Amino acid sequence: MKIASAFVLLATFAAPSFAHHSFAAEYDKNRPVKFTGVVTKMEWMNPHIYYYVDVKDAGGKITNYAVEGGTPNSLRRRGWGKDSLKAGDVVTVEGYMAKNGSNHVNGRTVTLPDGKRLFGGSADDGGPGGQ
Amino acid sequence: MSKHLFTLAVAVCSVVFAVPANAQQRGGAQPRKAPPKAGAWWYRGTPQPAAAHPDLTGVWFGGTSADLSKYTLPGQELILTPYGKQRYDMVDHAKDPNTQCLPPGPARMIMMAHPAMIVQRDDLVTILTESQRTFRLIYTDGRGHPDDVYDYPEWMGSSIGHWEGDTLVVDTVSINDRTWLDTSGHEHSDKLKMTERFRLADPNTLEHIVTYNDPVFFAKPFKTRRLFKRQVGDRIMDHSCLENEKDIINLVPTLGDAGR
Repeated sequence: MKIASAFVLLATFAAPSFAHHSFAAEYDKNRPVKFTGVVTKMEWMNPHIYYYVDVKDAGGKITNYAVEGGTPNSLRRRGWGKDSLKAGDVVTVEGYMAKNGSNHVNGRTVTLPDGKRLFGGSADDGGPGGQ
Repeated sequence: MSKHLFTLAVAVCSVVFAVPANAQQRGGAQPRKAPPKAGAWWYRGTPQPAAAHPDLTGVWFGGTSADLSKYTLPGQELILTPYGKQRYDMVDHAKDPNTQCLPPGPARMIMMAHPAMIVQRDDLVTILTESQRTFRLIYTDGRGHPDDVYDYPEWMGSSIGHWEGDTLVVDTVSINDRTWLDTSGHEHSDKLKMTERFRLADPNTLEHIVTYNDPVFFAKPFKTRRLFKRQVGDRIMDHSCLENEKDIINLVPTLGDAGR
């Protein structure tokens, strides 16, 4: 089972889906961010999936980041499901912060609990790391 | 994980990455798998029964609209008028109607992130897109456009079609000028007249040649050509753009090339 799910995630992240907005209209390519934290929630909804990650800073303060991923239908066609990232999973997210100072992050890559580092952004939104 | 399986997974992903930009592997595409054993010919991908015209019915996907200027035929380049260039240089990507969850317009609707389905009758062809589950009606029963067509523009315009041999030719006018023609931000005026030619290049490949004629935005009519692949065994899934929309509130004005 573990083999199957790892395969599915790898295939999924390798072929990301289209955003419903321009990357640059929402996110700042000059504000890259990388953090490791605990998934608190996954929202399997349109027009993008969101997963939320609790991140503790050096002083012990916890911030909850909202990470935007691809569109659920496209991800579903590639084997993703609403349980692909579960509350409690420890993940490392690399992405870009929103321009407006909120805790919204455009997730470009995600490192899963088993160490696989995968492209998780949107391919056609003009953002970094797209195809 | 077994080493062999991991190698296989990496190999599969490499193939996906290697496929060129316009391929059906992106976005809503269906990964290759065994065709279904039950269902209509267009679902199973088997030959269509004999009919007066080729039947375009089926689920199709050909990649997202991107920048139309990259899909033009030789001698059919997209050339902006001075006004069109001014608009293209200053277009605000935060206002893309797609981002605002507005209908995508008649041609862009089949170049969205998700597949579209064509359902064909002798007197009517419908295009149903998964993106926002919007639809388009093309009348092929010999009628003309409504008399008041230019007084009441529509998001999908008014479309009538006829067959020329194996090609469905569709004439569309009175397209709401709030729609964009592509993701790159090509806009149009209410003078836009679109002529589309749909043809099965092979049983599982749909060719779509579009002539965009809008003297306000484009110095001359231009023609694009896109190919769509039959999504054997796929179906139109649920989609509501506003279901969990969180982007609009975060958008900032982003003009011209800055948003491309």
